Amino acid sequence: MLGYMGKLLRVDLTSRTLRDEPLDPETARALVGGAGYAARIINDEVPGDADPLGPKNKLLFMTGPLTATSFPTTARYEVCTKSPLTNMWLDASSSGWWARDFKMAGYDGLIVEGVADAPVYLWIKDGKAEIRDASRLWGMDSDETQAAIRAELGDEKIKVSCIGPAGEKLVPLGCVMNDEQRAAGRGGAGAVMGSKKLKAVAVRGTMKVPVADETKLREVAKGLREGITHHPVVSQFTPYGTAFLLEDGWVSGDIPNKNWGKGVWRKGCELLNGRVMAETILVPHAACQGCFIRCARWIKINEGRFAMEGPGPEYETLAAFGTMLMNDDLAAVCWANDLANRYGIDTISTGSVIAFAMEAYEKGVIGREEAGCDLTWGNVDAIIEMIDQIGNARGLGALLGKGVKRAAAELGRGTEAYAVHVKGMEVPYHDPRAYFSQATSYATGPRGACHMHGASFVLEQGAPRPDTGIPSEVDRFSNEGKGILAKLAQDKASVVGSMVMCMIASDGMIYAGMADALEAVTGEPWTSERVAQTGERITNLQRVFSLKCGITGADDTLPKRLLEGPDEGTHAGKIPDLSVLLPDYYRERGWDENGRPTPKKLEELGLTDIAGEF
Amino acid sequence: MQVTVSFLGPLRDRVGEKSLLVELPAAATYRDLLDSIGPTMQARLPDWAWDSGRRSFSARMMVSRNLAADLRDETTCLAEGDEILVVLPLAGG
Ligand code: SF4
Repeated sequence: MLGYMGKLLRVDLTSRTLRDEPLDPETARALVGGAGYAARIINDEVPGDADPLGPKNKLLFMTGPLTATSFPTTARYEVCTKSPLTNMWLDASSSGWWARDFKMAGYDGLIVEGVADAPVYLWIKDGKAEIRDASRLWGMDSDETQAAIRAELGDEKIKVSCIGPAGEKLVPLGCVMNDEQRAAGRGGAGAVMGSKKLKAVAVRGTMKVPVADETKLREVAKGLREGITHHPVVSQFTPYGTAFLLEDGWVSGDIPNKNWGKGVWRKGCELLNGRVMAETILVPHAACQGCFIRCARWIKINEGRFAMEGPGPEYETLAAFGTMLMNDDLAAVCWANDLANRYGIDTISTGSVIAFAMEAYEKGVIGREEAGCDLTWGNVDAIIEMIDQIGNARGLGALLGKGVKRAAAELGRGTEAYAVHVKGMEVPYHDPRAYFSQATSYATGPRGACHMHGASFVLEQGAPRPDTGIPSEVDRFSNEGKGILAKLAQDKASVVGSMVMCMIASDGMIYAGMADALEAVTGEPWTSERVAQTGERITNLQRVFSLKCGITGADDTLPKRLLEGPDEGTHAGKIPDLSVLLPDYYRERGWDENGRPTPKKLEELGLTDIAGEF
Repeated sequence: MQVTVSFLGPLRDRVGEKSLLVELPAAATYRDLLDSIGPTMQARLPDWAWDSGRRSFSARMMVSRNLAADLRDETTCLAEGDEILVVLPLAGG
């Protein structure tokens, strides 16, 4: 099948066996690849009641048909599993270089099952795979692990996806890291990897991906490049990275501050934004493989206690370790980012749990002795200490590393009121009180609160969306008509995660462009309608798995803090009304009033076989 | 009276300045401000930011007075020291 290497590698760590199995063309036609294809395997093979950190859970590393082709921003992969943070569906994607080498080593995906009896890593090169001893690597951080494997195998070109100490210690905020601190960040895939005692997957590939029409693919890529170069928003990513958002996002109220308790923090945003970074500490460096947008940052801080050189923080991390914690020290955020990435913990959730702890400290629920530091807002020493505790699962950090939902449940004393999560997933840093469709997207997101799986607020920002039929002027504070926006954003993200390409670049693409790219690579007939329906199919399949895991419509909600109006800003006093938003969304989705796909909807999507499973 | 018009993000790059200090008669409205800065905006901003037909910032822009609610009503009276913030609402990572 064109666009694919045609096989998956299945590794059983319990029996230490490896076997190639053919990619199923029908599944690939229906679900493309990446997190779409993975949703089928996980639905079929992982029981809903499986312990996420037990032997019955499986961990998939998946590429898509675009991976390792000449199409830009496609050196990306999806890590899919049952999440130890949310106990339901999880996909987490990462860019860099690893995915390209993995696919060029001859595989579309890797399925890891069972549990090894001692630390191991996988070494895959041009169609050959082996399990190797990782005892020597256990305890190393994510940067050290990569360097040690390259040295051991004697090839500097090897790419490594791995876990840091947090994943080894089964911290539910643990993520999977690769290349220059790129992260499959959210939901705890690193802890699943650690539970299997799988330290890393090292790859080196020189095989070629078969492409149906290379000339057409290059034409589509050219169109994308031209569109993005002139796109007033996406073009900002090159000079300022995703951090450009901090420069003016505070005007709309998009940026949360002080654990979502403060509507606007202009000073912080003025000191932490992408322009400031570009003018002070940014240095030229390669971005992800094959990417012309180059949002990735590389920074050099020459002096002071946070002097360093390395990958710099992107928007979410600047909000996580900056505005959420009332910390306006850019160098300290860079340091914290580096530390979190080395330990292999999700910066978004980590910032959120520290913000939660700071609020609990302020309210007297947590004391100084318990915290091991003075957890006052903006205290950079405390931020760094807490990252160290979480990354090593020690002290208060051992509790916080379980996520705010469990931390609040264990602490009690009213802390639930400011534990900001959906289904256990800490809310990323776009305030749904500034754009009401985002309330729906967060409440219903396939992996919990997520901006990568439904950035519907973008559709409320007035950009023309000729492919969607959505009017360009949308009242951001209206509760009406937002269900379709959330659905569109989620389904588009589902396709992007199956192709697999970067979400940022996809913002410059409409469905027709995605169809053209898929058609050029696979030679299959693709249309805008097929792209839209494929996205819907994938989102429903992921939802069904989560329903099997026990979530219900009652879990489609927002935390209390986000149902209180912000104190100041253009969004002051604005509260999304879920009693209007959710029924509208369910209607648009063809789901019943409890958020379950109806048999009719599943039939329409060709998913009748799973209709009786939840 | 004097009001400040602040441009953030890509608008700052297009206008070439972080802000403009605008002199207006007492009791001036938002429309008066738009008329005053119109020629400069017309010359410096692209179509997606300035609507020459309406002689106003395009519908895609977010305009706010002193960070209160979104400013759309052109009859809104301005006051000495007001800051009018103009941004292109941006998506981001
Ligand atoms: S846009 Fe940014 S994250 Fe996406 S591929 Fe390019 S450099 Fe990587």
